Amino acid sequence: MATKKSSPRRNPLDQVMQASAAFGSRVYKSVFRHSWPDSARTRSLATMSNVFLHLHPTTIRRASLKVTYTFCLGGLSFFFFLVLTVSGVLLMFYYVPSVTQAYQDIKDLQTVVFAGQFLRNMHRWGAHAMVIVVFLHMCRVFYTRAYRPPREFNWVVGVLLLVLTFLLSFSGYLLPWDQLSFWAVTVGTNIAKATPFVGPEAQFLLIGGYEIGQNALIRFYTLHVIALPLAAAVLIAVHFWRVRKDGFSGGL
Amino acid sequence: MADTSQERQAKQDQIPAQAQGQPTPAPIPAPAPAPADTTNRRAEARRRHDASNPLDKARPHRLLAVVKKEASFIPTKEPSTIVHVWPHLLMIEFLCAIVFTVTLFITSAFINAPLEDLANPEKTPNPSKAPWYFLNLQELLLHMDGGLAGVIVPTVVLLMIALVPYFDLGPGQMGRWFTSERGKAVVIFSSIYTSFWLFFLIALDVFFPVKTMMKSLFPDEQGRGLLTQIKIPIPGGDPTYEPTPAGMLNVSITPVDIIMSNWIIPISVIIVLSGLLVVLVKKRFGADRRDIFQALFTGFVVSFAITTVVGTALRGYGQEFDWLWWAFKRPL
Repeated sequence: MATKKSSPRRNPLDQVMQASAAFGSRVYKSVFRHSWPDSARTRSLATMSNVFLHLHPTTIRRASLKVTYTFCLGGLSFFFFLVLTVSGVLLMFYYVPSVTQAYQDIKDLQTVVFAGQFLRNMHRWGAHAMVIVVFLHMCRVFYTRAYRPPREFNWVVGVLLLVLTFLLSFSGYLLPWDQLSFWAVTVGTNIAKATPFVGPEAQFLLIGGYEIGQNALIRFYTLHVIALPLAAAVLIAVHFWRVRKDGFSGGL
Repeated sequence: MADTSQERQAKQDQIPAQAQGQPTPAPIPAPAPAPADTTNRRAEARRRHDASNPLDKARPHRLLAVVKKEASFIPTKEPSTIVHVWPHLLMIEFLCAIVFTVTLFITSAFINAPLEDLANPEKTPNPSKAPWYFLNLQELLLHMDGGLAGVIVPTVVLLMIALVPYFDLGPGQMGRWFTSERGKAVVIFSSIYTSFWLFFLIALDVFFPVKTMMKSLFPDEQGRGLLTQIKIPIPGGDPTYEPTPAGMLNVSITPVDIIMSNWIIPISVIIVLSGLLVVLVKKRFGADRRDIFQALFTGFVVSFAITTVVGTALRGYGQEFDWLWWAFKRPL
């Protein structure tokens, strides 16, 4: 019977280990399709064959890596957009845009929901940070003259994204339905009322009535969670595409 | 200039080749203090790396030493100025994301977002303020017509900013902060100029309000100002000063003192001060078009910042000027 000593290769444990290693390697290869990026070829593949990373070129001038040129501001704007998207989606699970329920939902979020206060804080401070970072990004691009041809149109897209950032932040301001948000938006939309010729109409369009109420809340909510983020996402795609096509402006 | 750029090159040369993601070359010994017979070689090396030569500027390396054939290592190819995005750029992006994630986490763990009482349309807080990034507009609102401050000025400013690249077509490079030393000087000058005028104008309007001055200009026997007596119909104006006559669409019968204080004076001040800025930077610095754009853009950025701070921190009850309002810490 089993008098012969089994060789190490036939050890069942080793066989299982080898099989799992082979399986793991196959899974890894099925996802990444190349080995760990440590050669010129695999490093190029790492950016080329990855849907998220292929926004980047495969190679770049060393001088373009200088952090004191960009201060990462464009990337940070996108980073905060992502943070706000994720935290915003989580907040949507708990929030109902109704004048009778919205405020209580925020209260519950702060007191009942696990880490709800933390989530809300992240969304709030992230939003302020995004406004600041986007503005600083515009200043950086202006002062380094990075809008030079052929990048004129991308600068215009950037200005539109700045406006969208303001609108995103402003539309979200109303949602907690507390005194702060109600009166801030009242003041803000009264500015729209002062538009020459079409002021009252513009304000009516914005808040769906003559004063802030349920109509305004649902309009701001819809703008905030779907219309404006979609518009921003499309413009961000155009913005990145153009940067990718025209190359980095720095380090020339 | 040449010295600092060479120093920078030297610093980049000191980065270990491994960190730069290239095959490790053996270390090249730094040149010994120049003996007389190598002076020419060093001069030759300097000549070959001429910092003012744009081709050499693009190469972050220079000839440090000439080694004999018997030496331990002979470089066979020049170090590349091109690096792979993985890992060089991705590492920077990753680190940046980590740092800001941690910062945001810590902020959110310790500082709570404000939440006041349930919204109550009957109870107007004093002061009522917009979100902080619109307080610059709310500050402008105190000094001019609402339509001008809230819609016309921001729209015109944004349009002008958007159109800058289509008009900044002059020579000069891209990719350098402030374009030139002169550009930097222009930006600093414009910041000081704008801050001075802005604080001066806000203080002037606080202590000698233009609206009151216009109302009491050339008073008659009853003390009513001359300008308040003359009224002009303005289509599309704010009808709150006097009701719109029946049958007329949104026409406001506006007294001239209000036209002066809310429209003519603010617009004139903006145009005259911007024009003066352009003239000054042209005369003082010999500014080209790019510098003029930089001066005006800096004017916008500084105005945006100052009016935001004043509107947020220094406007108290009834939007009155209040040095100590910041102490009440209005929630953001």
